[in-house]
Amino acid sequence: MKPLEPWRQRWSTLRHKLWCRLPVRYLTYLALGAWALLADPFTLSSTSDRALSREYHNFYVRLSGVEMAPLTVVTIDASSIRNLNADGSGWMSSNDWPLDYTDHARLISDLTVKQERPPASLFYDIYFEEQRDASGELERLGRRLSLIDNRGTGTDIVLAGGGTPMPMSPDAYERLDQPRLSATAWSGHGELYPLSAPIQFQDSETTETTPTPAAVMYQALCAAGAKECEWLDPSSAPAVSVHWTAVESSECIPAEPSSHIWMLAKRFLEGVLQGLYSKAEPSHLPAKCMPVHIVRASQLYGDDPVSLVPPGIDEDAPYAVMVGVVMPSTHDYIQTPVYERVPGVLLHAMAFENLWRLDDGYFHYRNMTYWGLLFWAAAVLLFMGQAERRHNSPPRRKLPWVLLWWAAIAGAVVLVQLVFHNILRIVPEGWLSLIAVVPLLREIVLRNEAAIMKIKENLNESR
Amino acid sequence: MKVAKGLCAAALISLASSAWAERLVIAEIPSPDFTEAQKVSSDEWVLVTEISSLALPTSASLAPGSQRELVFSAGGQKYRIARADVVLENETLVTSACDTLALSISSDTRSASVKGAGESCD
Repeated sequence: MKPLEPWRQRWSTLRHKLWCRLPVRYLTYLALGAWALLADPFTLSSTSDRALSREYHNFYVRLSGVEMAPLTVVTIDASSIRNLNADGSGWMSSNDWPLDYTDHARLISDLTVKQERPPASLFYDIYFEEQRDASGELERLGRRLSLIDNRGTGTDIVLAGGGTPMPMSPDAYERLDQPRLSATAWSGHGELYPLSAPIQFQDSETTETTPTPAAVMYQALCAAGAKECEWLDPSSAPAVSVHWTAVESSECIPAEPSSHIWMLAKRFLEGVLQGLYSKAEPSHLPAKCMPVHIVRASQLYGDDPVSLVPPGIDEDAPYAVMVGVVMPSTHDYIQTPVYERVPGVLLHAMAFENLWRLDDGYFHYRNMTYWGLLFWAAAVLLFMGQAERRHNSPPRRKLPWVLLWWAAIAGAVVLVQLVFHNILRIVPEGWLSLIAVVPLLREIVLRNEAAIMKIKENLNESR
Repeated sequence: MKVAKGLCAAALISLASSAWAERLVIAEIPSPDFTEAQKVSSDEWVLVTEISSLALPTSASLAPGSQRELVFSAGGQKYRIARADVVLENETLVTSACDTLALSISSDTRSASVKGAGESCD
């Protein structure tokens, strides 16, 4: 007899005794679910949550178009610069990015004081981090901003202020005559858009929390009498889970039911079978479908200039303007679920559109992990009770039942997502992992419990 | 001798044409209430609406060593003004270099370089 054999037998008996105790088994099942839901192994749980939200987002956007927001985005792009410079015969003195400060001053003047119907607010999404000697004197731009501000032209001008990840030079801030800044760089919010974030100056520990551009524009339009928005306290409001929407048109969201249904079916098939399309992703909407008025800087000049006022808004209704750079070589692009990668200024624009359209009902993030855990705890109890009632759990052999079980899980996922997204307007995270562990209810909990019942019955009979 | 005269004439024509090319005419100042000019003599900044003797159109020339500033005279004073702040006679804008602008780029776009020069519009 081996020396360790008695110990092995004792351990085996103890293990069996423990496993026959209901609380031990229940806690083991709970731990299994908690590992999948809380520990986020290899980020599989959170990644699948985000993938589902992104895919649902794509379908939801295609269900119906939205109206244009009272916002114009002016893009400074490479060809606009060349057109306005026109080989030295145009007004723009720069022929490439970055522009001379006097070019910025002219552009800001033309977008505000030169307009017959000036915007209520202008956000200039260019970050003047330092005085750049090759671009002229920053003070000249600062004096122009002060003149526009002091003479009460009615347009509230806000400049990009960086943030704690990229602090601004205090010298540049002084040269610009202490303009109003809005935080444009932040960390710790993932893919969400915070409504306030701290800005910081170089060589300084102190930070100042300011509303982000979308909140500033929204509040400016409210102040101009467009609507009431006293509900918004940017410092305490949850971050926006930006909802990328599209306008109704034949190229974007068709109004005709036949085109609409075909588009949804095509998108569904592309999503479900995307692995068969090699690397091709499901089709994205073109960026011109965004519900904001997008104008290239050069289109505001010439013999037939484009109006800065967004089309379709009421006469005398206030509107806002955002100016940003659209140049792939500047690397200011962000990934979106609907429009691929778009320039950073359009993130501010869409966050504003969300606030404008949904007010305090905008989509925001909610951690549902503990609700998922509660659901798992209740489901395990239910299945343990079921096992005690049925005393056996044969494997499913009929294909229709397997498919029905699969369809029930998929349907439940869509239904829960629909409730979260459409009714509660929250973007949940931490619940989709339940899909991975729910089949364990039958395959492990039910089977295991049924097996335990048999062991107990055999023990009782032998006694 | 004929060759020397010809060379002298060509040099004079060349000088005259370059001087003519630098003579510019300011036709308009788009936002005069918000536009400043700098006195060359004292470096003092003044609003163009405060230069009472300024009458448009007026002739100007490129500031020495700069393609981004012009110099004009008014009331016996010389002033510097940004090229971007004025409209010149015969000013042109190209309007058909790139008709459409690609706003979005593909999700799998990767770039590992920093902008150093202009890019083409295609």
